[in-house]
Amino acid sequence: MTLRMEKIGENELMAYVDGQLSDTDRAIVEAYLADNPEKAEQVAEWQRQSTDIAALFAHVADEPVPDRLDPHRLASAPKAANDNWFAGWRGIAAALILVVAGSAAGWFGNDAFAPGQSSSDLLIADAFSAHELFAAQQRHAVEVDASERLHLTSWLSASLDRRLVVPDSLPNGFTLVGGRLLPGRDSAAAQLMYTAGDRKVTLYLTPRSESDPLQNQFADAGDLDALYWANDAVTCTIVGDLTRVEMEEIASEVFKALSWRDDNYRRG
Amino acid sequence: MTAFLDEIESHIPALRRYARALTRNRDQADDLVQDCLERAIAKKRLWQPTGSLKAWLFRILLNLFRNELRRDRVAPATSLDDLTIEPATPAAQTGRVALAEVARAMEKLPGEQREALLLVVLEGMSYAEAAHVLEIPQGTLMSRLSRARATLKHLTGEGDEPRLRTVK
Repeated sequence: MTLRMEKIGENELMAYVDGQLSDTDRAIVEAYLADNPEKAEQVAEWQRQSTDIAALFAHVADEPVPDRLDPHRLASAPKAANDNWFAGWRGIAAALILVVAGSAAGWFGNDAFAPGQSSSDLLIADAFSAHELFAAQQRHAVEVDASERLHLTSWLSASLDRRLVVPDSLPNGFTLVGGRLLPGRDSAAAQLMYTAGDRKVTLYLTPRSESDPLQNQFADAGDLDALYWANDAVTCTIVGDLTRVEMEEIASEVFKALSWRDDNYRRG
Repeated sequence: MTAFLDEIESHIPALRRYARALTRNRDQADDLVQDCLERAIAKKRLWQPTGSLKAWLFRILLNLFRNELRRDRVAPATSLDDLTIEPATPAAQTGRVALAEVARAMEKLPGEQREALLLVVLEGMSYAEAAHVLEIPQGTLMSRLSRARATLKHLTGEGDEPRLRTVK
């Protein structure tokens, strides 16, 4: 149905600007505009609005798409662990518990690790080092404070190219202090710090690489304990002076939060 | 499944663009798109192959965005710093109105008007398609567009200033 000139009103003019008209109707509107300068001016203003909006955002579609948005990769990621994961873990852990009886230097000096040692050992060592360094800081313990948790989450997620979840508290009264970005071995690493009174717990997160084992690993360096865990996307090492029960409670919470593919768990 | 994923993939640049315009924040936008893709993949069974996959994806994205606003009460993490570095192309405009001013005006639009305007103007959707995404009648869509354009005009000072008119 062709547009009739006397029927042209605001809707028709807007449809013209928004490219909704057939060629025939467009020609009719153009003829109308030639005779109605007031309307032509309004149309020109709307067109400028469209151009401005395009100038602000159109380029985004030309940017390379980050890997984490590859639907094939998202579809092939394994289902998140269910809530019972920890029960299953305990059995394995019993066999895997790694007690480091050596001195602290044995942990903190990277030289202590012979080549060929598992990458989780290295990650645990890094997590210990980062904990030692930053848990002792009073004023500069974190780079981004807990009050900016949303920013912290998106910043660290972008830096690690993984979707991270930052819980604002952990079992046993630990609350988020904030987090920081660190250099890791092959990529960036993130540290999140939690405190309860004068006790501190840190989470050391890295994107998981192929060589990082999926088995949990427990480590003990005297006054500090660590628990390493990984899923398909990230590794997480929890460090703190914790009892085994506290560690398990915290780990259960943290790993559930990081298993963000679980539909039962959404942010917030 | 692969064909479905390939088709989803073809819509990602547009989803990112729309999400960026809604949030004005790169990381937040990509988080939103990732959420949307995960939902879509998980809910593949719910998608009717007869409908438009694109509209379905945009609808999921919008619902997630609205939920996020409601839940977190985040005013989109905007700063004009984000905007000044973003436009990769110089604005093809007369220079009357700085782009930053347009960006600020967009921010002040009511959410429903901004969502509608961006679908049509930025995403180039037909009125029917945009109405379908927003699950509103086409007449409602058009009145939102009209109000959005009038508000933008007002906020960018266009309503008041005398301007040179082309004399024929």
